[in-house]
Amino acid sequence: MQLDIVIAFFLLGMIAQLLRAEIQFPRALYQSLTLFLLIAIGLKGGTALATHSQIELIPQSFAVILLGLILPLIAFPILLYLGQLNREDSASISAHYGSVSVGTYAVAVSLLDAQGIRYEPYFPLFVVLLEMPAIAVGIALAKGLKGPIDSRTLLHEIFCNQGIVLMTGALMIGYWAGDRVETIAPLFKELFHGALALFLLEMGIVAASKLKVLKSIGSFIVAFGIFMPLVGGFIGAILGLSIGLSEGGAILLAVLAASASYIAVPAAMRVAIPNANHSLSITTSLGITFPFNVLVGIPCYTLFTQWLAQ
Amino acid sequence: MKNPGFFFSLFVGIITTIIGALLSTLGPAGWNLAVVGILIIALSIWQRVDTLSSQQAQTLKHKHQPSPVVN
Repeated sequence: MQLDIVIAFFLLGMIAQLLRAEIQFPRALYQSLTLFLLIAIGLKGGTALATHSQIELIPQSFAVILLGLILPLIAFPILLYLGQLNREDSASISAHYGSVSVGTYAVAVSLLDAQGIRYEPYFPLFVVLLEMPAIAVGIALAKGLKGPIDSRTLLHEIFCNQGIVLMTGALMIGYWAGDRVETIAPLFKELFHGALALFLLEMGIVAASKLKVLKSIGSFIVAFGIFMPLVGGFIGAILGLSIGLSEGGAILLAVLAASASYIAVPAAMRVAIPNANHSLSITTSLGITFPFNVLVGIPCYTLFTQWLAQ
Repeated sequence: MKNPGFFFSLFVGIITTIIGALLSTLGPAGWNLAVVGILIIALSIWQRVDTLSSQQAQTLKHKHQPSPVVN
């Protein structure tokens, strides 16, 4: 299988970091690219939603929310009993694995487009829906903890974080504007793959910088960072096909279930579980699961889903 | 179970290798997964050996330490 051009940029970032080539990637550019991707994905989904509003969307949405509730419940006992991590860390990492990574989703969309595999164009709606339930489950799992939780700040972090606000907002604008989105298409559609390549270059640098700590965090966390995406991918693919999604849609749901959040959930967990080891959660999701999904996982979920669909 | 984390990582390594080998019959991407599985097995065994050998060294160090002289 030919290496996708955007993945090549991810590898370039990793290699550059491992060679200690000092690539100065401005923090503001990374933040701008994140905003760009969130808006571009939301707009695309909103436009599609305006023309594809169907009754099937309701049960599909409930199934997706259910998926977001189940995944952290699978992760939590593994971390707590097998990994022997404390309750705070287990709850925090579980929430990361129940939520989604927009970066991984963008890579999957790019790969499906390159291979000509069709998928439900309103899929960004599911991305938004999958962002939130895991945060709620993570907090519920951590409820046994002592100490008050500032619920107002927490609700603000859950519903008003950058990812949710921008993607929901762009979805609504896309839905409302319909075909008028074409006026801003040169920025948000034409430049999507170029911006994704730049974003992945930075992500490659970040992921490789996290590799240094692999030795110190132990084989359990590495194995967990590979195991959860495989379990999520498996459940996502089966669920996707069983709720009537197309083959491409089921692949995307598998990718979403396999991904781990590194934008929305870390912010919420800092408020909900301040005593948790947040660098451990980020290292696991960004240093292990993200590169695994981008380099190995997505093609495997594609193969598995295509085999299931036959 | 004395070290559930080690057995879990070994289990994940073996399962990943098997799934990768099975997927390789459908397409070459499966081989990459099999390689990841083998790497997990190697990492978990290496870490286990490392832990055990450092524990053994610690025990030997305690054994060879002269007992305190009481005057």
